[in-house]
Amino acid sequence: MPDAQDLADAEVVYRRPAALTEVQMRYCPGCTHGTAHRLVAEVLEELDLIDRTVIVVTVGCSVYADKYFNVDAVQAAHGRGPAVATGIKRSSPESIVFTYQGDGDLAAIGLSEVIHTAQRGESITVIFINNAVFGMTRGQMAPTTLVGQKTTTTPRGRDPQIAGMPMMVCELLASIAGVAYLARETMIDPKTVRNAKRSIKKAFQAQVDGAGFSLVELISTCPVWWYKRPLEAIAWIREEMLEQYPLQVFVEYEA
Amino acid sequence: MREEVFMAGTGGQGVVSAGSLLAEMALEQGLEVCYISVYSPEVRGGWVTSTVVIADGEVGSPIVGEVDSLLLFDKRAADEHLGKIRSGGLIVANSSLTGPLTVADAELIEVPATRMAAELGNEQVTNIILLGTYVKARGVLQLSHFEAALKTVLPERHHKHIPLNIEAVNLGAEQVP
Amino acid sequence: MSKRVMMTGNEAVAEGAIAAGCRYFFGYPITPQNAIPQYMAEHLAEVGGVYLQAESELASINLVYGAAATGAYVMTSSSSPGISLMQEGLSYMLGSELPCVVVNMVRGGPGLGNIGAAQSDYWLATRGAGHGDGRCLTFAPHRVQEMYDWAAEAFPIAQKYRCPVMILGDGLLANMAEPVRLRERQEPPPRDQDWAIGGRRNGRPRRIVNSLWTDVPVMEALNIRIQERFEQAAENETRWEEYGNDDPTFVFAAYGISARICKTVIDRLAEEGIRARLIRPVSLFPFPHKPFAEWAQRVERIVCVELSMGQFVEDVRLAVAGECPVDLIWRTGGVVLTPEEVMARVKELL
Ligand SMILES: Cc1ncc(C[n+]2csc(CCOP(=O)(O)OP(=O)(O)O)c2C)c(N)n1
Ligand code: SF4
Ligand SMILES: [Mg+2]
Repeated sequence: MPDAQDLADAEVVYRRPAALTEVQMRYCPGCTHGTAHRLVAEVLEELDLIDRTVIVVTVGCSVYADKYFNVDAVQAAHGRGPAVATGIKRSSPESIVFTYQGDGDLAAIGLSEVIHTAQRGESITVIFINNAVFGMTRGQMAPTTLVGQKTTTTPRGRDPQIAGMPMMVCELLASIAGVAYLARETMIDPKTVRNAKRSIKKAFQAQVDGAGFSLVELISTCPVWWYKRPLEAIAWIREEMLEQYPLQVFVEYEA
Repeated sequence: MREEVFMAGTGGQGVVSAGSLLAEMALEQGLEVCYISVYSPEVRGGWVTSTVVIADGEVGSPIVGEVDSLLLFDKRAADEHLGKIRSGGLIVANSSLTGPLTVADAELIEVPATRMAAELGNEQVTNIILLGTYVKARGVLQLSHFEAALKTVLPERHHKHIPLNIEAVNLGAEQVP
Repeated sequence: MSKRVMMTGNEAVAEGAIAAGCRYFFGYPITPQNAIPQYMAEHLAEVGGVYLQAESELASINLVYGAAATGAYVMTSSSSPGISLMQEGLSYMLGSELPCVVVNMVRGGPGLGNIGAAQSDYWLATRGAGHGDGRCLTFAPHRVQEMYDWAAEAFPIAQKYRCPVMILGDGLLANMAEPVRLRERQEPPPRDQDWAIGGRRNGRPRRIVNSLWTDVPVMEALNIRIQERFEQAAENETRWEEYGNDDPTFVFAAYGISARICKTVIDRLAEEGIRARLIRPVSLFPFPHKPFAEWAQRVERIVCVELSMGQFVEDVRLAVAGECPVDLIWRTGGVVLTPEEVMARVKELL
């Protein structure tokens, strides 16, 4: 056991980012929502944005993100985050505003809001958590659910004849002129986590520079509603999700 | 005092601007006024109406049933709205387009306004001629407020037409028997 | 005093908002209120404000929600179908205790309806604001000057009670022109509310604007707080006007455009020696119960006149509480009553 003096002398190499509160997160074991929170928080601290950031919290498992992020927060109705964020940004332009949205929130009920916000080139950042299900409401099909994937509302697996093909949000947004930075990342090993952080940082940098709309899609786990153990969930991302959703920087941003 | 004026015609005949001029004249004269134009959905050739209610106190209903004065710009307007006149009211008809009318119980002044406007050199002032006749005949508003009203309603770039409009309004007034 | 200028109700409510310090407007076009967003698009820029056309009314009200959270004076406007879409956002604003001003120039409904003048959003306006226990404070001007004046009054009231305020008009009030006496445009007030988010915190504790309270007693407490504000509003903001004979045999109940019709009817009845009076609620929520309760003791009947099929009359009946008969004269679907029609129908009742 190190004594107090050892601790005082020690170099801190890892700690809670200042942009996170001490509130314990309530995500399931193996869920990457927590990893995504941490990456965003590290970026806010490194870019020195904590004092002027507003998170727009949306509806999904991350609905308590206002408790976890140590910044001003506004809770939006399901899917409406980008509109709320626009209202904040337009009336308080020096604020750094980001939404944190799931695939149900963004790609189902809120698809219109995100597209139009991107199209206006709104200087906000969207962190888009694609876990291929509605987590919070107990594992129903999302627009991003894979073909054949069993969910509580596709008990025999997603059938494209019935529900169409998975929604490719980045591919959809890539053609929109107002987009300053757009990337798809995941968080399944040290390398992809580092890449994800780099993309998140670029997305916020683009906002700081007033360059336009930025979005990072993070292919995330939902072990609970994928009916998998955490490690199996990671493997499923690597083997199945990334087949459907290849990692890519769609719109590059250079400061 | 409450004076209800209703005008009807076809898009492009100046029913809207006649209504708004009347409203501005009332305002210039220190009266209360409410004015609304309504048009049919089609973009060209549709009907247009203007309702102007003038009062020396609060204007109550902006909605009118029977009216005190009726300005009819063409035959369709006459066919549709002639029956709106209150007994003892005043009808000013653009006889160039309405053709001859018969009314039982109201004063009718028929003015060939489209033809007269053409003779003045601009059919666009048809509405102003009818306005002049109405103002003079009814006596609620004074013609002396016309120029100020015109300056408010006409966009700056059209102010060169003010003399023509004044000529037209006076010509209209002269038609009152 | 400044000169009076002719303005439509749409223009007046927009200019009134700018004059009151509103600098943010988000909306989506719908007839008969298109002149409001058009006016804002034209004139907000003159005062350094922001006009943004949203992609839907769902988006409009959520843009408003975001701007309201920063403490700004913010407004949107629409007509009936668009207000239906805004119900979600209004409910969230109530739950998050955020102020804003919403103008509803009512048109004929239900459904897509038509662009005629109607009052059939009375329930939506006075009970609405989506799901949950809250409502909007709702005011119904009946002249263009009042549209202008209420736009200015609505913002401080919204801030005071921390809720959406609705200004209720109709297709006629929206598009008719009347003289308006304008005041100087004011600068927006400072955003020093202790709940406003955004800007640089400079060490102040972080703030959260939220309507999610899973702890049920906390949610109940929030509802009680909202209700207490409504009770204060009932005390301070209840407004009505009375018009006509001081010793009437019957009393008209009408608001907005219908009240204007009734005023003319009252004047004409007076010429025939029939004594009538009007109670015109200006605040629809809070509803002015008092004048109805008092006059109900003294007159033969109360005759409700509305451009909807018996919505407003329910509040009148609640206020009258059975003290005298309450009759209803209505037209709906964008059809308007003329003074002649009201005269004829009221004479059948007497
Ligand atoms: C208008 C409305 N409809 C439905 C819901 C219920 N609802 C809550 S969360 C959710 C889906 C969330 O899924 P997602 O955005 O993918 O987030 P996750 O939980 O997967 O992170 C739904 C449908 C709601 N809150 N509001
Ligand atoms: S349900 Fe899924 S998305 Fe939600 S916390 Fe659990 S693992 Fe994460
Ligand atoms: Mg999801």
